[in-house]
Amino acid sequence: MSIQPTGFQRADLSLEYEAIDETATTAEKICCKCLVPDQSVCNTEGNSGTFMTAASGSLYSYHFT
Amino acid sequence: MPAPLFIKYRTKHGNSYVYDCATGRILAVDEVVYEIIDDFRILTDEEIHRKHILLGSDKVQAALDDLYEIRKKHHLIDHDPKELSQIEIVEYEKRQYPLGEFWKSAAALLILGLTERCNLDCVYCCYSGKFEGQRVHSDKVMNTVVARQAIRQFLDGEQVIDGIYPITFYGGEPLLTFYHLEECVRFAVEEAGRRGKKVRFSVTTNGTLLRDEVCDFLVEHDFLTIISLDGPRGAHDRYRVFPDGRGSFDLVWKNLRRFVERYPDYKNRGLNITLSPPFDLEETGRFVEECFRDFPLIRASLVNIGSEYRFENSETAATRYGCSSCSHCENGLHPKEDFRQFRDEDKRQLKKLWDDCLECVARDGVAGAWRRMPFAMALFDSQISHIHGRNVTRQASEWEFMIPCLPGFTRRFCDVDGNYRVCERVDDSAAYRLGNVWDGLDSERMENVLELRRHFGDCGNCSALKNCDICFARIPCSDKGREGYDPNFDRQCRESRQSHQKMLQLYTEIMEVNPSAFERHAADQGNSTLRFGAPNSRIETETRERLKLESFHSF
Repeated sequence: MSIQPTGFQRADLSLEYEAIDETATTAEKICCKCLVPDQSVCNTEGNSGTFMTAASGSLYSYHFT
Repeated sequence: MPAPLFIKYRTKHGNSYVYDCATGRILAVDEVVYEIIDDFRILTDEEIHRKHILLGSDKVQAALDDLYEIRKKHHLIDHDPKELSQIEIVEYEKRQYPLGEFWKSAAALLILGLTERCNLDCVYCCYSGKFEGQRVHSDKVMNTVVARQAIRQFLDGEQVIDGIYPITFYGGEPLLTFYHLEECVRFAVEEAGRRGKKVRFSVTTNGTLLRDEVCDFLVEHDFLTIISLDGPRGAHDRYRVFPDGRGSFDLVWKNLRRFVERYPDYKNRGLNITLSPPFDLEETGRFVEECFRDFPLIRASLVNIGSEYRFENSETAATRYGCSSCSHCENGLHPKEDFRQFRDEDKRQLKKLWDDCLECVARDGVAGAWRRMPFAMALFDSQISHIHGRNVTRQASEWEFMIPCLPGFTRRFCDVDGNYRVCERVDDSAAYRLGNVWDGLDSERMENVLELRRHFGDCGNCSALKNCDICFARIPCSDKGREGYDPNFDRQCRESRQSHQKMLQLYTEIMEVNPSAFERHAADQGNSTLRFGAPNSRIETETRERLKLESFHSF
């Protein structure tokens, strides 16, 4: 195969995007990028951040500037 | 004929890649694909064979087969550029809102400009009167009634970030009206409690007024406290001066040390470092490392003269506000301060720090780089990590247009007069007024602000479509911009695209040698953004010449 996806991206993107755990509490949500539980101090400035719940590993997406 | 939109590039390790603009994915490709992909779907297969006959017919056919095969997996789909049109619907939290209703119902951050007064007269300050299109410092103070109304409207809006309503205080110097800040905090806490909601506060201060009772109050209310400090005394005092010209470092430093001694375990504080030429980045780096333990939330940035002009060789660098050709410049009223003049030595130091930082990230990862080079990472992390944090989609059934912020939602700035503006950083144009505390937000005005982006050119054909970083604060003199074409816009677009392309290459080079370079761990976390987060805004272009703001909660 002369073309191959690299996977050069956030690891969490292999998860199903629809799998958002809406029952997760704030404390359970961590930023996939900086792994900080409190997204209000997430360091994803200028980028989109994606949060996942620590327990289930499911995505809780959010974009930060 | 519609064809895929992509960026192809090679890394220094000799590998070839294609960035698929539709999905945001990076594809490793062989040399034959790399050569023919420019013609794929533009020419017929037969024409491609004829044009690339020297590559060998079998190899070209194999490459074409693979290209068609990977399209079945939603890579490299055809791009059909659309004209940007009106946004009608916002999807948020799985609900759909007419745009105007959404804007009125939610905001991610309220910024209260408590006063336009400042006790410093920083040379590079955009409110110093030297910058065309910007307001100037004045004695205005926000009326309590205005502040209360803004807070009420904010708290009445829908929850954006887990029920936390972030409020930040801005100036001038907001601590000049500390009594007012106290009153706002107490009112916000009370009003939030009545609604069963939570508020969180932050403030950016020049640090000259951090008296003990102020620190006590900030800690009591768990403020995210950001102090503007440009480095050691020499660097700080060069531009951050009192009106009589005295440097402010000694006073600020004394206050910071007392703050630390009084609350040694309080970590919710940081420094905002503005780097202005002439640099001594090694000295500044050592200083920042010394401060890092007590002020872990550090952000560094280059002085705000407009990135589009920063390294031009012209003697009088323009500002982002179009200062180079403004009437003040023409009349010689603008002194040519050093802060606008980047010397070759400054560029050399920056380049070295950048190269060292990239090398460190490649070797030790982002987390390791924060431990070893906190100053460099405070300056470069967001840039280096930008591509890693990009939006990547599994499928690209529809093209999407990303904007860095949605006016009125991402930030809601209330100025001293009670006008709502896009944010505290945009120029003083009437076009950026979104309403006021008495009448609320004006949907028509906000839509007009959004329409300003049309002037940025051909977004539908832009390879940086999903990574656009041009925020409204970078659109100078928007009132003029609305009248028609402005070459500065094209220039910003071009530079943003070039930067995107370069960063793609650098990012890929890092990932080639260290695929886990961008993994971060809570224990390694050294830095956090100085601002409360707010959702990016995402717009997808549709065939029916209609834009739709998609859910913030899906890719």
